[in-house]
Formats: sequence, structure tokens, C-alpha cells
Amino acid sequence: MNMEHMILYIVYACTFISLAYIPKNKWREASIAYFFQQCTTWFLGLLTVELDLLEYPVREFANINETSFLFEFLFYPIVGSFFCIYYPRNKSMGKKILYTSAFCTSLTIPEVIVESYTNLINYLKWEWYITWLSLYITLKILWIFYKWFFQLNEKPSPKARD
Amino acid sequence: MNFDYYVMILFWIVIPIILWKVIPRSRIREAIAALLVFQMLTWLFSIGLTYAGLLYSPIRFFEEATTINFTMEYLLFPSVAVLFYLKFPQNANFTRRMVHYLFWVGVILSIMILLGTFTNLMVVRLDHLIRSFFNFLIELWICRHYVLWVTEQFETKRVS
Repeated sequence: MNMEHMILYIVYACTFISLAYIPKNKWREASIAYFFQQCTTWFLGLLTVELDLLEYPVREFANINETSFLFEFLFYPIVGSFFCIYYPRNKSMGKKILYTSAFCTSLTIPEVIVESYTNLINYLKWEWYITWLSLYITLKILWIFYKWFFQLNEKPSPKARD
Repeated sequence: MNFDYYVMILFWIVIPIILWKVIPRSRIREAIAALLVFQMLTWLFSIGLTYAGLLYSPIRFFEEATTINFTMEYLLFPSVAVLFYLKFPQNANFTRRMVHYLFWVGVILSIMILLGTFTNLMVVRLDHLIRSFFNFLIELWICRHYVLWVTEQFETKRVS
């Protein structure tokens, strides 16, 4: 087993283990966020590969799709679920921006490392900050959808919800 | 650009309009939940079937990036699932519900036969249709039960 497959295996395992940390009463919310994020990544993932912006030399289902199935089907949508569940809805604007940025940064740094040292992903016409920005935008869109879907009120109110 | 691409572009224009017209605003969340979960199911099934060599689509968008027919799996089938869900007879008896399932699976299979006959969007043979019959039956079942589960809280909110 080479380095790339080992990383894929570990990420798969960690992604499944992480499901245990979704609170039992939040599964509905988590699943909607998961499916919505899949809907976004499926399209955008195909687009980036089709336009030769990125390539994933080592991947699953290599003959069928040239995108990373793990990242688009499983990993990033589940990250989206966690993002929504723990979003600091009633906190200040600064905290929200910091929270979203923290997610983007902690996904971008490993990607840059993986890009430099392994064959899992190669940037063709791509830069790390485009990754960061696209993560920020997709997470923001996810949150807007999520807030609408569950009719959440974002303003801090004296009567706390839940 | 040949006929097949026109058909796909037509889908991308016509289907969103139909959905927009058909979905009642009070049930838009259910419809979106059905659409999203069915996209996940078709993605999973189409990857599995294509991987096993059981599904093939000669003409498609994102030709380099995938061998799955993105238009079918992302737009067409999930939209049919939305209609299936919205028209579902909740309080009817077992036979009526069964007929509903069979009718909408029939709709999907008819679309496949039409596309297989007149376009190159899919290769459709008898064994594809038999497999698809059961696949879509299962997918529609999962889709409906998921949406019922996920929208449960809205129901209780409305009642209380």
C-alpha cells in the first residue's frame, strides 16, 4: 500500500468515525446539510476537472470520474454538516467570519501539504487561495440554505431557542 | 452540435421551469429534501453500476471528467422523484400506494426507453430496464421515507 492509498484509507476511516460526534438530535439537520453540500460539490468538482484546473492522479473509481469521490461525496459534505451544527448563530459577525475562516484554513493547509508531497491532487491552473475562497463561498451558501430550510433566526434573542 | 446536446440543453431549461410551476410554495422544503436525497442516491447507484459495467452513456456533459450522464442523474431522475413525492397519496390504502410507486417507476423507465431509442444519451437494453425497475423502486422508497423523517419536525411545529 503506497502513501496515497494509505491517506485515502485514513481519511475514509476518520470520516466515518466522525459521524459518531454528530449529536443524536441533530441528525436531521446534519443530513440536509450533507445532501446540499453534495449537490454543490458534485457539480463544481466536475467543472474544475473538466476545465483542467485540478487533477486527481490517484483516486477511486478512476475510470468513471476524474474527481475525488472521497472528498466530494463524503468528506467535504460531512465537514459541511459539522459546520452547520456548530455554527455560532447567535454570536457577533466577527465570530462568524472567524468560525468560517477557521474551517477554510484547516481544510486548505492539509490540501496544500497533500498537493506538494503526494499524487492525490495536483494544481494545474489553481492556487491555494482559490481553494480557500471556494470553500468559504460554498460554506456560506450552505449556511444561507440551512438557515432558510430550518427557519432559523440568526439575531440574538432574549428567548434562546432549542 | 448534434441533436443529443439539444435534448440535454432542453432538459436544463424545461425541467427547472416545470419544477417551479409544480411545487406548491408550502411544500418547497419537502421538494428540495426529496431532490437532494435522490441526487445522492442516483450518484451512488450510477457510480456503482458504471463501475460494474452495467450502465453506459455515450453522449454527456463533462465528457472528460466523468462517464456518468450528469444531466440524467443530477437533474432528470431527481426531478421525477420530486413529482413522485409531491403526488404521493399519503392516506390511501396499500394497493393505491403500490400503484403510485409502479406508475412513477414506469415514468422513469419510459423516459429511459425514449432516450435509448431516439438519442445517444443512454444505452438501454432489456436487462438495464429490469435492473432499473428495482433500483428506482428502492431509491424512491428510500427517498420518500427520508423526506418523511426529515420533515417530521415541521409537521409537529405546525400542529403545535
